[in-house]
Order: sequence, then C-alpha cells, then structure tokens
Amino acid sequence: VTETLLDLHFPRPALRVRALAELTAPSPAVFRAVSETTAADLARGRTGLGARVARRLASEPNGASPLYAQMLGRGLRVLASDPLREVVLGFSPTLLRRGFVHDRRPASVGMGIRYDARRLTVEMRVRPRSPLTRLAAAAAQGPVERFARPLLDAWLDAVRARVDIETEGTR
Amino acid sequence: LSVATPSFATTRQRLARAVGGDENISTDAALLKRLSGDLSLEPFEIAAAVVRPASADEVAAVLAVAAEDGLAVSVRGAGMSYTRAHTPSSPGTVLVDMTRLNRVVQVEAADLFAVVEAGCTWEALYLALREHDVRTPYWGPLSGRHATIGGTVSQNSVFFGSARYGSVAECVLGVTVVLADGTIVRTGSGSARGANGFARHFGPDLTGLFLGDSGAFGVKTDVTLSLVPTPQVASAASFAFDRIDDLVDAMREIAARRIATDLYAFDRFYHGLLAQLGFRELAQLEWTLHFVVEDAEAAHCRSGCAQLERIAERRSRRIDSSVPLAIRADPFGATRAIFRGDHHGVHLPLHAIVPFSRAGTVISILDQFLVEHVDELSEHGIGAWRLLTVSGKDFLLEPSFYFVGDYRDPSVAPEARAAAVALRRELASRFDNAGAVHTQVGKYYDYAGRLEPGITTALQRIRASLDPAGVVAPGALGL
Repeated sequence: VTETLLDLHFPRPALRVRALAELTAPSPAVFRAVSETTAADLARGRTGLGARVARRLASEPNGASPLYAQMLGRGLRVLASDPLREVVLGFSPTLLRRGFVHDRRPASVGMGIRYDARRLTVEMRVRPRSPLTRLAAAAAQGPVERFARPLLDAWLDAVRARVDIETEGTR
Repeated sequence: LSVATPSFATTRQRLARAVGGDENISTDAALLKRLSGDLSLEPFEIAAAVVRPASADEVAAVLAVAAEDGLAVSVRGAGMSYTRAHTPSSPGTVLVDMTRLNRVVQVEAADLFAVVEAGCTWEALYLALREHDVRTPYWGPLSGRHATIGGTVSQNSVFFGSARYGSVAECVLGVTVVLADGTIVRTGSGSARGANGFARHFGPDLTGLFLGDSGAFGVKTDVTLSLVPTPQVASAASFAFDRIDDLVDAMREIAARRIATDLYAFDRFYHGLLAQLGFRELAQLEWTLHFVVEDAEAAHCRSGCAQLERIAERRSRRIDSSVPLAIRADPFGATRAIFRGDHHGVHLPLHAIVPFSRAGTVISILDQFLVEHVDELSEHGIGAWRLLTVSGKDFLLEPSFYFVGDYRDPSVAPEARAAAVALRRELASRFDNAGAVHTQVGKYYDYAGRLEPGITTALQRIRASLDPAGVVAPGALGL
C-alpha cells in the first residue's frame, strides 16, 4: 500500500471522509480542473445538500473564485505537495485566527487531493490532539460524513465535467 | 521567393515530401502569422511555410530543400520566447515546428540518463520519468506545460531545480544536431563507437557549443539529459522581508549552500497576483522569499531546510510556506495562473544574471530606471514587477513590464505597447553596461556586439564552417 502525503501528515485519523472518481485524463488536466473549479460549477444542474451549500458559497463575496483559492483564502494552508500527484491542505483553529503565519504545530484538520493510477481521491481527515478529542471526533464521523460527502462528490463531479470539457477541446 | 510564385509551389511540394506528406506542411496565412511571432512584441517577418518533421532525417531533408532554394530556416518549439528566438528575420523563411519530435526515446534509470526528442515538453518529460522514479536535475521552467526541451536547451533556462543544479545547460550530456548541410552530429559519449550517451565529456566538450546557441549552429533533434532519483521528501519555507538588501543577502547565503533546489522571491506586484489565487495576506507584504529543499530522507531534508531557515530568519519574519508548496503541486500551471484573472494582460520580462557581488548594482539600476521613467509608466498604465531567483550560485533579477494589452494584437493599447518595448530595450542596455549576462539570448540581447574581437572571430568562423550560406536561424546571437 502506497503511503500518501496525507498519510504522512494525518496518520491515524479519528475522522475521515473520502470521495473518489475514476478519470482518464492526464494529471495536468486534472490538477488544472481541481484548481479552477468554482462553487457555481458544483451547483450547476444538481440538487441536494452539496448543491445547496455550493449555491450559498457562490453567492458570497469572492464566490466566483475557484474553490481551491477560496479554501486557501479561508485559512487552509498547503502542507505538502508531490508535483502533479498530490497536494495536502490543512488548518488548525489557531492558524485560522492568526492569519498567514507559520505554525510549527501539526494541523488538526486536513484534506488530501490525490490523482494516481487514474483515480482522483479527495479525503478529509481529523487528527485528534488528545484521547478526548479522538472520542469526540469519532462520534462526529456520521454527521460530518452526511454533510461533507455530498459536497466532496459534487466537487469531484464538477472537476470531472471541467476535465471532460478541456480534454474534449484538445482532441 | 514569394509564396505566390510558381517556383515556391515547387519548393512547397519538395518540403512536403521531406516531412512525409502534405499533412505536415502548411502555408495558411493566419497560421503562419501566429506561429511566426513570439511573446517579445518585437517586429518579425511571416514565414512562407511551416513544416513539421518527425525525425532527424526529415529535418535534414528540409534543410537540403532550404539550402538548394536559398531559403532561411527558423526552428520553433512552443513559441514561448521573449527574445525573438525563432521569429523569421526575412520573408520566405521556412519555419520548422519541432512539436512532432516529442518522444521520450530512452530512459536509463540505473545509469541516470535519458534521451528525449527536442519537441517534448518539460511536463511530458517529468511525467514520463516519474514512472521510473527519476527526474532531471533542472526540471523545467514555469512555462513547462508548453516549453519544449529543444527550445529550452537552445535558449538556456533556469527555474525548477536551478538553485541546486544550475541552468538546464548544466544537465545536458549530449545533443543530436542536424547541421545546415544535413550532416547529423551527435555529441557526448553517445557519439563514440560502442558507448551510449551516459557522459558529456569524452574529448572536447562539443555539447557546450550547441547549448544556449539560440539555434545558430544547427537544429537540435534530441537531447540526452542527466537524471537524479526522484526526491522522496520535500520541505519548504517562506519569509517576509521589508528591505530588498536583506532579501538579497539571505538569497546569497542560501544559494551558496546549494541545499535548496528552488529559490525565488516576489515583489508586491506578484503578491497581488498571488492574493487572487487565495494567498490574500501576501497583498500586504513588500517582499517574500520562498525555497524548497528536497531529499531522499526526511531527516536530511528537515536538517537542510532548518539550516536555510536560520539564515533567512536573521533578517525577516517567517510566514506560512503555502506558496512554494502550491507552486510545486502544479509546477507548470503557473503561466496559466498568471494569465488568468485580473492580470491577463501583457507581461514583458527581461533579466540580468550577475554574481551576487553585483546584485546591488543591477537592483540600483532598476530602481533608478523606474524613478526616471515614473511619469511614462504611469501615463501608459505600465507596472514593473520583480522576480528574483538564482542560477546556481549567481543572482538573477527579472523585472517584467505589465500592461493591459494583447500579445498578438498590436491594435490593443498601442501606445503602452510601444512604451513597454522601448523601456525594455533601454533597461536591457543598462543591465549589459553593468556586466550582466543572459540566458535566452535569441536575437534580442546584445551578445556578439559585447564580445572581445577574438571570440567573435572564432564564433563567426565556427558558424561559417557549420553553415556557410547562413541558412539556419540567421541573426541568432547576432552572428
């Protein structure tokens, strides 16, 4: 089993939500789509929780910006990257409050985006800071998954649609 | 010869035969206009035909037709040049588009070298080598999604990997070059009977003659590059500086260690662009320095990064290292990001490479230049962005004139365009007077005119010997 950068930065998570899409496009096209997909793309033609959240995000200031840029603008930091294969984002509540500063402590919440062997995986993980928070995070797995999974699925669908449009244009 | 004359119709037929058929030649006026230009905004002639060879033999056949009919030949990779690398100097030029020569021919992971055709992009090469767990030491320019190996080697280039390994020229072991008379020349150990391309040095270093030559000495069809094992771990760090002097001092010390693979710094104009990509806090900062350290082992990587962090921390404050890690995640996507959003106008860069002892001089020249021309810049809405990086141990300053315009349409903002072109020329001249050198000489930077008479004579003799009629890339290097 390949150890991913997400495994390195978020080992033994107490909570994880994962979505996966099979794609055939080359990795540059996939990473381009990941970095350019917007909330409006997620909402387009969809119903359900993922679309509702996406519409709300799209209506906010900077809502037209790509989601990737929005995540960075909202306090997520790039923790690690393997060119054109994987990028790991993360944050801790302290970091969010303190802005664009360096924090030597490991992030507590993270997300890995990985495209390898034609599988695009997006996975959220929570690393507990204590036994108590591990229990709390594990208990939250169900509700968090019910909220986050549709959103991740919608994101991957939108990425796939964007990849299809781009690669169609180059055929 | 004119494209309309009957004799060119004959030439066209022979060129088509040279490249394997009519589908690999075009005389479409719109296409020729697009492919003949580059990003320099400098004037150019429109080629008479573009051909797309798929082998060294086809290149040789094209050169034979051109020589017989007295046509000049220009060689084009992705057309990403800012220095008239491939732009025709005379009407009737045959443009050789190398993008069909795009295969990774041989990967010898155990012996750490690879042979790749000149029209392959850096991104395609990176992905192909990754399958073998190897990478080139210099591993591409920011424009590597489009930029080709042949174009980059002909022009020379620095960026990814250059802080540790230097420019692309330092990673080349050998080249295959088609000379103007059709002779196919292989350099490096691959030219020796019984040997392969593993070594650059076996007798005189003729490989070096063809690197950074802007195509003046022949048409490169493949390049043998050295390899390194793909680093297993990477660390990055970023710092905010208030003063450029402190920034340059830190860069000098960090570059001297040759630990970082990537080392670059941005000014507040670049920060504005990065803020749009999500790094909002950068908009408040004057200068930021970013570096990446890579290694096979995490402990070595962390310790190397820590050494460099201590150097930077003496003069700056540490900030989050998302920028270099995000650039690294999609390394060749930067050009697209730059041309997206609010900054999708024209960026017209130039650069100066100097030893670090002269970094202050070229920075002062730039500062003074911008003060002198502040009214002109303001009148035409031209911004001056600054990127600082290194070529191995040496300092590279890349100012870039930015305005809202269009590379290919001179009718958009014509006054700003003319002003930016003139400003760039004047600044290049001032950098040269300070002893700066350049990669990407092309037909833009003054090269031949700055050399001592002895070396100019030697180069002219070499050129005359390799290409007596001056068929290939006339005007390149000013020869």
